[in-house]
Amino acid sequence: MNFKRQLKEGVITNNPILVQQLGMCATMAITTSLFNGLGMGLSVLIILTCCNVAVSAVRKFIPDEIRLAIFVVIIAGFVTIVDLLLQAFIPALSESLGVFIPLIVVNCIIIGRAEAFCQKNPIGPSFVDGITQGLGYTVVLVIMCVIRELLGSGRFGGGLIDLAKGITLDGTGEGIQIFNSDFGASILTLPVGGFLTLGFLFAAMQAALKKAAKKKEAAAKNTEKEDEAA
Amino acid sequence: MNKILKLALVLFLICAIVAGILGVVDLVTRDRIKEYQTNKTNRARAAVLEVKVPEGEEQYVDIDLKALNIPTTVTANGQDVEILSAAQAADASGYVVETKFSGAQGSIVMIVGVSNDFTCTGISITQHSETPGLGAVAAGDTQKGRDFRASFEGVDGSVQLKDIDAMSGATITSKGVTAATAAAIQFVEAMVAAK
Repeated sequence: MNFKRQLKEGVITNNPILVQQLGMCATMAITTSLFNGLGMGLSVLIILTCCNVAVSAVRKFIPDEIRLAIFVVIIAGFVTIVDLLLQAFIPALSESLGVFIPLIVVNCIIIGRAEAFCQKNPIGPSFVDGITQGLGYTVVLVIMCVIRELLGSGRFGGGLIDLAKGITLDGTGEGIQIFNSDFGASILTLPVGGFLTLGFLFAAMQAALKKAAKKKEAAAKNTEKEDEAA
Repeated sequence: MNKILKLALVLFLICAIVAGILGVVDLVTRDRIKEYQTNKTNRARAAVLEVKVPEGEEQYVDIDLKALNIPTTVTANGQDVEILSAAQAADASGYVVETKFSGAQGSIVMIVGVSNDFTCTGISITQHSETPGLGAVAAGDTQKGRDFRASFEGVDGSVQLKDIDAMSGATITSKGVTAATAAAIQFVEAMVAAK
């Protein structure tokens, strides 16, 4: 369990959205305001971590033939718990995210990590994996929210930040209007804009990863040459 | 055979455990959720029709729909709208009707205020699963949503989509809300005529 390595993987090199390309449906639909994006990201982080720990804890007892069915039952259970808790304690977020909270059950990130990681690893690394992958997911959601809100309607922090009230946890914050919303590209606030923004983020991530790979290759070649010279 | 039995048993056990945990969480949250929904309905009723009664007294008197003998499903603008409940304002200034109709993503529950001269005094959506940013704007607290709801004030039972300020990108939701408003007013007309 190497926390630093798992953190780097979760947020950058194995990012669930930008690299593994999982869970994109909710990403594109939810990222219309910072309140929604952060709320969804944190909900997925909590559910992912809980599910990871649960799956890892029972991995030795689950017969291989029915493991997917059991994963789905566990995930659906945790999602319902979070859904009920949100309805009871943060109803504004529950109403704002609406049907996308129950949809977390079929979010490929959760069942993907259960299948690819947690059924072969002990509880500790699985817990860390949940946190780091959830962080990677939340970071991408926040970036998408900021881009779409800012360029689409000139606003920052919709639903979460209010110049008069500070940080509003009940979703009523108006956000900070950076420039007049008439000058925004309002296509970005529609689902089409979600597709476009995500596409550009994919491209940026691939460019960055390629650059890093090239750098690593060049560094490896340099050390080879030094070894030969020595 | 034994193997299949064992698989079924394991699956049953896990489902039972998860169901048990869910039952506990439901027990803990049930009352809070119900209280929130009731408060929401009361606030929605107050938002569509203000009632002036002394502090602490009943603001709305529920009407027994079954005793009325008029149909509780009204078809307006080609769409079926179900009337869930109706209440009269305690100061006889109008009625509040709870409607249920199809939105773009499932059912929407909406409260319509109807004045004594059969015009809309306001609308308020209490339950929906519409898309955030599109249909959900009708229920939300943004300027766009408030403008949308305000455009229904003063309309009568023959209101059509072209008469109000529809939301672009959310036509189905706009149509549904329009139909439900018309249906609520038509229902109150029928209710008053039947008395």
